[in-house]
Formats: sequence, structure tokens, C-alpha cells
Amino acid sequence: MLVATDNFIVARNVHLNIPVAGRKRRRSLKANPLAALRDFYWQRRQKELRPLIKGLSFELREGDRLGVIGQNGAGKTTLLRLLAGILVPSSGTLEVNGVTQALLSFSMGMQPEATGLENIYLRGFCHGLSAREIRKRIPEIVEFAQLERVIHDPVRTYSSGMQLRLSFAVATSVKAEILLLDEWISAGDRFFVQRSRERLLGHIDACKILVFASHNLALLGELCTRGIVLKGGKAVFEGDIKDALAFYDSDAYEAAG
Amino acid sequence: MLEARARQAQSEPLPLKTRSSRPRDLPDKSAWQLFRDLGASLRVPGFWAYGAWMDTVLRYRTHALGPVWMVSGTVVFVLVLGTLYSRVLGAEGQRYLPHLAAGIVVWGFLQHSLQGSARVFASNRNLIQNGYVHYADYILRLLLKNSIELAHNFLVVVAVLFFSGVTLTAAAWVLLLTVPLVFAAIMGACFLFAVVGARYADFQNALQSVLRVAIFVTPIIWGPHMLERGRGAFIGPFLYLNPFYYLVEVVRAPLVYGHVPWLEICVLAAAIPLIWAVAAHIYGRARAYIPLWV
Repeated sequence: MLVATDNFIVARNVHLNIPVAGRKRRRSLKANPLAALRDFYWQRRQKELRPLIKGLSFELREGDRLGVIGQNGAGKTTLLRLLAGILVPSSGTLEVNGVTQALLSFSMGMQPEATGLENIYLRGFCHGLSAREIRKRIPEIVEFAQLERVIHDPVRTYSSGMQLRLSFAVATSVKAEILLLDEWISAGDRFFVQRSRERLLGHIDACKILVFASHNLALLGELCTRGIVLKGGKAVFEGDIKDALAFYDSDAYEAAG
Repeated sequence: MLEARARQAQSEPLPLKTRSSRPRDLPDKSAWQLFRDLGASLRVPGFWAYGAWMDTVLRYRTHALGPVWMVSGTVVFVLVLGTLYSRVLGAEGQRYLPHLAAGIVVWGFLQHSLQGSARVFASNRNLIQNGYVHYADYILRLLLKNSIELAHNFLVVVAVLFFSGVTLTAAAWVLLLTVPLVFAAIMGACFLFAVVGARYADFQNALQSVLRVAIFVTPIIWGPHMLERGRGAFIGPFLYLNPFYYLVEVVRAPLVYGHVPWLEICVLAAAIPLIWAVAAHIYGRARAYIPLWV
């Protein structure tokens, strides 16, 4: 039995259908002023729906590290966006219990005119920290990002590597219970890649549940214990990460679905 | 599972402030979502309060005049238009300048809030797509930023009142009621316009055209009392069809003319539940689709 204080993710028969974005004309008020009323009421049922996730069920407990495997368009990122609460399932139940952090891309919301320090605050609030918690973390963030000399300059004057280091340092200074990680973006020079890898691994170790979507099979095998293989929005295999990777590599994946 | 949910409700607070630990079922289309989201955002003000302050500071950081820069536009508008139009309209009383100042300052707040809300989700697209889905935060950030601007501009109104020799009467106390009323009406409208603006990309253009006309249709440069004589008299009754009239008048009349516009206050107070009901209904239906639209 799951207890409320545990961290868990329970998905039961989760489907996600999204309305197909029709011709551009339909999203214009000028072309069709009544479109607003029609959209909200009369045409709901006739609307063309595209299934992105078809009946996923799984249960993750504390300590589980789930690798999400699949070709492009299989629904990996969509699954992460469901777990992050960005998208809402069309049917089925999805329960996510725990402080969730989604690192889907590191480009999240920098204000170019604001200073590095101000951006640390804003990003910190985004990750759910309080002002005091942010203040406590600032020296360590600035040190890791190696921005001591330019932290009071506007972020628009930073190089892209500096911006990446800053958002990465803030994101990984937050303690999350459930970590959702999309395709590890290793940009930056080789010195940063080495240091960021250590820090990211530490961040992952500190969280209770990891859901990691990637094409990097070696990294998946290293970080995850369980694997789920997606194809066309369906889970075609679920089990131990080694078996999942083997399944993805074999002809069975081509044949599945 | 039910037990887990029940216990979740009474469980201890999680170590970090979070709003992500609720069960997520089917797209919940309940109208109460708006009030739940708003309540959740009000309890965790970090992002929107800091963001609004940052938006304000950034606007004048590079200007030598600093915060003065924010009000200089209002000052120029009131002085130039006030001098010119008081002659054109033959309204050379001591109340014309305060009338214009109060009107334009309230109007600026309305315009910036409504126009900003129509594109608020689109301009925060990056944050929404990365998982910051507290939609009420974006609205509150916009409104707080505009409120800070309003507070600065209000100093211009006070200065104009002072130099025109208009003294405040006891009627000014009613501002404590009418300013929150205007604020409540605008906040409801912002939620509504934000959703519609996210769905229809051209809504903000349409709104811009409407507001551009509305500033002339609403008694800001002219006043309703100017209609009572001459050829404009027939326009009078049509004023009451203009929603902006109420929003401007409930603040301006007690301040400049020293009378309490009870009719306008009642209409506004009656309209607020209506605005919020429509906004909550639309927001509830649309909430799950916002990330797909922006």
C-alpha cells in the first residue's frame, strides 16, 4: 500500500488526445468571429483528435530510476510533460506525489536585461524556493557557474556558455524528490561538460525518483534501473533497463506496435 | 489509493513549497479551478512579486531620470493636452486638468492590463512549456507591475489636484471602495482575455483597435457634464453602454468632483461577479489546453 508521505508516480491507463491544430484560419477571430463560441461549445465532439499517448500504466516508487526509450515521435517528451503537469491526461488517472522538478530544456526563462543575480532569484522562485533558500544557495551557484566577476552584469552580455552554466547551476541546486530529465544537453566547453556531469549525477542521486528520456543508450544503462520502451505513444516493453535496451536494439522493436 | 489521497490531504507540508503533488485526473473543467489557481498563487508570491518588481526596475534602470521617467509621459500628456483642449472645448475651469489627469491615469492602468493580458501566456511560452504552469502567477505579475506604475502615476494626479486648487472632500473616502472594485473587475477581465488571447492570436490586435477608439469614446479628454448643453446632449444616455465609463468615473468623480457616483458604483459592483463567472467558466474549460495553444 502506498502511503501519502512516500513519493510515487502511479499512471493507470493514461491516454492523451490533443485536438489537431487545423488550418491557421480557424485560429483567427477575424476570419470567423463566431469561432470562439463554436470552439467552446458546438464543435467539441466533431473536433479531430490525435492520440499522443495510448493507455500507459506504470507505478514508480522511491528509488526507481525509469529510462524512457523510443525513437523520435514515440512520445518520450510528451510523457515527461504529462508527469510535469504541463499536459493533462485525456482519460485515465495519473498521480504524482512529491516535489517534482522538470528539466526539459536548460533554456528556461532568462530575462536578458536583468543581471545574473536577479535571474538567479527569478529562476529560484520558479523552482519553488523561498527568498531565504535562494540567498543561501547563491554563493555556491555563482561559484559553480564561474560568474563571480560578471554576476552584476545583464545576462544579455553573457556568452551562451555562461547562460547555460547559470541556469544549470540554479536548476541543480534545488532539491527535488521526483526528477524529470529530458535529453541531457551537454553544451559548453569540455571542462564544463566534465564538471556538469558530476554535478548532474549528484543531483540525480539526491532525488528519490528519476524519469529520464534519452537517446543515449549508454547513459540510460548507467543511470536507470528500469526501462519503458515507447512506440507511437504505446508502451511496447517494460521491465529491467538491460532487457529494455536489448529489446529496443532488437528487431522486436521494429515489429512491435 | 483513496486512503493515500485522504492521507495526502492531511500530510505534513513538504520540504519545499510545491503545488505539484496533487493527483492529476482527467482535464478538470470545473470553473473553481480559477479560484484554486489564484489562491495557490497568492500563497506563494515569490515568482510574481519578484517578477513584477524586476519588470518595473528594468524599465528605467538605464534611464538617467530613473523612476521619474515612468511618470514623465503622464505629466507631458496632461500639461500639453490639458492646455490645448481646455481652450478647444471651452472648458477652462479649475477642474479640467485634474479631470484629464485622473482619467488618463486610470485609463493607462486599464489599457496596459487588458492589452498585456491578451498576450501574457504567449510571452511566457518558454516558462509554460518548461513546466511552470501556475497561470495565475503570470496574471498577478502583470497586474502588480501595472499597479506599481499606477501608484507612480497617481502622484501626478495628486500634484495636479494640488496646483489646480481642488480640495478633496469627504467623498474621497469612497476611493477605498472603488479602487478595489476597479481592480477586481480588471483582474477578472484579465483572466478572461488571457485565455482568449492564448487561443486566438489576433485577439490582441482586435483589442488594440477597440481600445484605441475607446479612449476617445470614454469621457477622458472630454467630460459628461460637457454634453448637457448644445448638440452633444443626445450622447448622454449612450455613455451608460460604455463599460470603461464606469471604471473611470468611480475613481474620478470622488476625487475631482467630490461627489459619490452611486449609480456607477452599483453597476460596477454588479458586473464584477458576472465578469468573474464568465472568466472562471472559460478558464476552467480552457486551462488544460493552454500549453497546446501558446
